[in-house]
Formats: sequence, C-alpha cells, structure tokens
Amino acid sequence: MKRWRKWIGIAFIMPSLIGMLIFYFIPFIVSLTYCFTSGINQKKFVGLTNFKQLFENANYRLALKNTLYITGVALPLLCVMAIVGAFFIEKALAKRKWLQGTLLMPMAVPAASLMLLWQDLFSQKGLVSYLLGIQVDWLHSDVAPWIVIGMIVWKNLGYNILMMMSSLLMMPKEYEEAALLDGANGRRIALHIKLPYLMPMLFFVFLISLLNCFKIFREVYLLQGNYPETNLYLLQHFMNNHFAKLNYELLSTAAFTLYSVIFLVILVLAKCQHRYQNTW
Amino acid sequence: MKQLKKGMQGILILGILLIMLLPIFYIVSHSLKPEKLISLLYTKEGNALEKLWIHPFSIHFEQYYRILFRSPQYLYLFWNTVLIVGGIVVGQMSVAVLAAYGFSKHKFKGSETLFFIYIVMMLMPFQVTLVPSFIVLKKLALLDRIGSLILPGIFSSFGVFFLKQFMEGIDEAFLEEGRLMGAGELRILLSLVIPMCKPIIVSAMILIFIDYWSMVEQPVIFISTPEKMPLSVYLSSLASDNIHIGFACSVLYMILPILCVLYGQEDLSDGLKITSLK
Repeated sequence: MKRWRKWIGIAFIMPSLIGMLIFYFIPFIVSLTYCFTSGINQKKFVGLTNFKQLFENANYRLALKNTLYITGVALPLLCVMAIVGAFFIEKALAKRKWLQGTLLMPMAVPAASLMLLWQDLFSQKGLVSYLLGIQVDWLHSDVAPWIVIGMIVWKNLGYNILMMMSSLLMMPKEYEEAALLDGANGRRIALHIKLPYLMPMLFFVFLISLLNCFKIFREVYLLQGNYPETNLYLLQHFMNNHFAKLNYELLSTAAFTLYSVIFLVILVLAKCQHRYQNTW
Repeated sequence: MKQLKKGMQGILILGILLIMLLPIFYIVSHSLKPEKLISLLYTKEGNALEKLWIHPFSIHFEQYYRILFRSPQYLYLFWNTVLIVGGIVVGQMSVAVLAAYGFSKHKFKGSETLFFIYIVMMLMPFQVTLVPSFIVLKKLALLDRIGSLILPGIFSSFGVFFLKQFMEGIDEAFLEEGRLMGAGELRILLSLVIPMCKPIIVSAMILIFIDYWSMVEQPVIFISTPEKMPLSVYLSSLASDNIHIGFACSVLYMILPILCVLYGQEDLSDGLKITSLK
C-alpha cells in the first residue's frame, strides 16, 4: 500500500515535472555552466574570469547602480506605506468590498494601456510641466528614476495594503481589547501589538514587492525601448542587449549574480522569520 | 476626537481612491471622445489643462467603432493575445492541480526537496535561463511562434506553489472517506479536492492571467515578427502611431484584466488570507 502510493504521487507530478525539467531546470543548469566557461561550441573552463569581466564593465555597473537605487527606494517605501495605510483604513476597508476592488485595480491595468497617460503627464508640454511652470521632458531628466519609483508604488501599494489588512483582520480581537483595558492608546496598540503581529505578513509582502520591483522593466521598456536614458538603464536592459550581441557568458553571469542576490535576501528573510516565530 | 479621526480616514480613503482611479478615468474618458478632437489635441500641442480636462464626460463611440469594425489588425492581435494567455492559464492550471495534489497528498521520499527546487525556479528572473531556453525553443522549432510563449508559461511553477500551500490544509480523513467508498485517486481529485479549492484556483488563475496579459520580456526575445507580438508589446507603438484611436485601444486592452479582478475579488481576498496564514 505504502509503496503503491508513492508511485501515485510521482505520477501526479510527472506532467509538470517533465515540462519543468525541459523549460526551467535544464536551462538553469546549462546557464550555470556558461558562467564559468567561454566559447559556445568549444567550452573552456575559465574560472571567475567572466565575473571579473562583468564587474569591470561600465554598463553593468551603471545598470546595477540604477536597479539598486530604484529598488532600494521603492521597496522600503512600499512596505512602510502599506503598513501605515493598513493601520489607518483597516476597519473602513474591511466593510467595503468595492473599495478593496478599487485597490486592486492598478495591479490589473496592463503596462501598455497606461503608456499614453505617462507620456502625456510627463512630456515637455504635459500636465506636470504646466503645474510646475517649468517646461522639462521629465522622463528624460534627472528625476526620471523617481517617476519610475512612483509608478511602482502606484501599481503595488493597493495590493500590499490589502495583504496587510487581511492579516490584521485575522488578529484575535482579545489582543486589542486586553490592551485597551490596560489603558493602552491607539498608537501603542499599533506599535506594540499590531506591528509584531504583522511581521510574518511583512516578510511575505517584502518578497512579493521585491519581485514586482523588477517587473517595472516592462514600463521602462515600453516607454524608452532597448536603450533608455542612462539613469533608467536597468539590469534587464543590460542582459537583453548582451543577448542581442550574442555575448552569452556575460549575460548569464549577470543574471546569476542578480539571482544569487535575490536568493540570499530570501534566505535571510526566511531565517529571520523562522527565528521570529520561535521567539514570539 | 472620534469625529476628527473619522474625517481624516475619509479624506485618506478619498485620496487613495482618486490616485488609484484618476489615471484609469483619464484613459477611458479620452477613449470616448471623437477622433478629430484627439488628433487636434495631440497635433497642435494644446494646452496641458485642455488636454487633461476637455469635455471629460462626452460620450462618442467613434474610436471603438473604428477599431471593432474598420481595423482588423487590432482585433487579430487581440485575439492572438487571448489565445496565448488563455492557453497559458488553462494549461498551467491543469498541470498545477495534478502536481499540487501529488506534492501535498502523496508525499514520497524527496518530494519536499523537489518542491524546494520548484520554489527556486519560481523566484528565478526570466533572464537567468534566457540563452538555454532560446536554444531549447529553437530545437523544438517554436521560435517566432506563439508556442514559444505558451509552453514555458504552462510549466511555470507558480501555480503549483500556490495550490500546494492550500491543499496541504485539506483534511486527510476527508479524502480517506472517499477512498473507502471506492473512489479512485483521479475521482477524488476531481470531485472532492477541486471543488474545495475553487477560490484558490480562481485567484491563482486571475494572478496568472494578469501577469501574462502584460508580459514583455519573453515576446521581445522569442518573437521576431512584429505582427505576431502580443498586444502587451505591440500596443504602445500601435497607439502612438494612431493616436486618434490609441486611447480606445488601451481601454479595450485593459478591460479583461479589470473584469477579472472585479469578478474574482472575493476569491482573491480569500486567497490572500490563505497565503497570509502560511
């Protein structure tokens, strides 16, 4: 019986497993070998030369800097705003289903549909120029990264608030009532009871937002194509352009470096969360 | 004091609503203006305020008429995109339901490790496997065909991850009862597990739909003929070249995902609650 059931499990997984191997896992392994070799047909082991080359590449450093800058600002901003937002409108939000739907709306609108709007708002004769009284092509100026950060926040904030709220709603009512009886005020409850309770969710929101930050490439690509302004040149541009130049080693090395960083962040988070749940 | 707090809350909600909805309203309201007016606004470089707020509530279906009855190209591309994304959503869900059931209810030695590999694959940026994927798709003769977008999409591990988390929570005794009554594994999956998972399946489908509906990275690399591109890439050039119908194009393109969210909102928030439990 036991042995028989094991094979059932494998049978259920099989279709997914075959596809996963072909389209993800094998490419993943092959890609990993690219990082340490050179030449596509006759592979030669070159050790860490590719990594050295990568970090000496000025374009890569630029892309890395821009990506880190945008993610580094947008990510904490998203998390903090989501928490604050959830605290403020939690109760009002829980009752109103339509409001929840509205918050999800920006996430649903495809990048391509909003292109005309962004172009309109930030062009030289657009609304922003008009309001500020300075005629600047904002998407091609120094503040362009901040516009992109704004787009990230606009797209993801509603979803994040909803996630935080759904977590807050599941907090047992007794916690808050007990604290109220002990004479705690709203701010203390928020800081010492709700915030710790939200922590596990915060890890999750952080992770989702991290992945969503990288998706802003879509908007930037649709707005400015393969070669954007230097302050919007992201890692994905770097990798796509090296694909076009057939420079596969550098591309794979860059991609793996990025993934290692993402993965490290996730591991650290998972570890923190584990620890946190044990102490609490 | 309480009144003040309520007022503040109201203002905050109103502010959030405005920020979330104004961009969408702007696109929709422009799509309902006559073509001539839009052309005029965008060629003579009108005043910014005029551009933003000219006849905000006028309703003309001229642009839609032209798209739906006079420009087969847009409809063709739209249909193409529906085909691609629909294929991915349905395919990924079918594969994922089976795999998630296997992972959660028929654990075998090494299944946890295998699932961990699935998570690793799920979090991987698309570019990591760009070159080998390209080679694989070339070998399968799928390049420059919509298959090159659909097949990798079907086997993405997001659906498996999402469903497995939920199926873990289903009571084993419940399934055992089904088995005692003589139901086979497939029957149990179809008549017991899937109905229980309905909200989570719906919300996974919506999330997958939204994500692939605006995919850019894959088509840019794997598709070389502009006419075969999904609208997610082609729309922006189409819209800025034909500004007179551009806004209506954009609206038609965002209707499906928005309807999805509105329709599945309840399930989505249920899904959120479940993922937050983990």
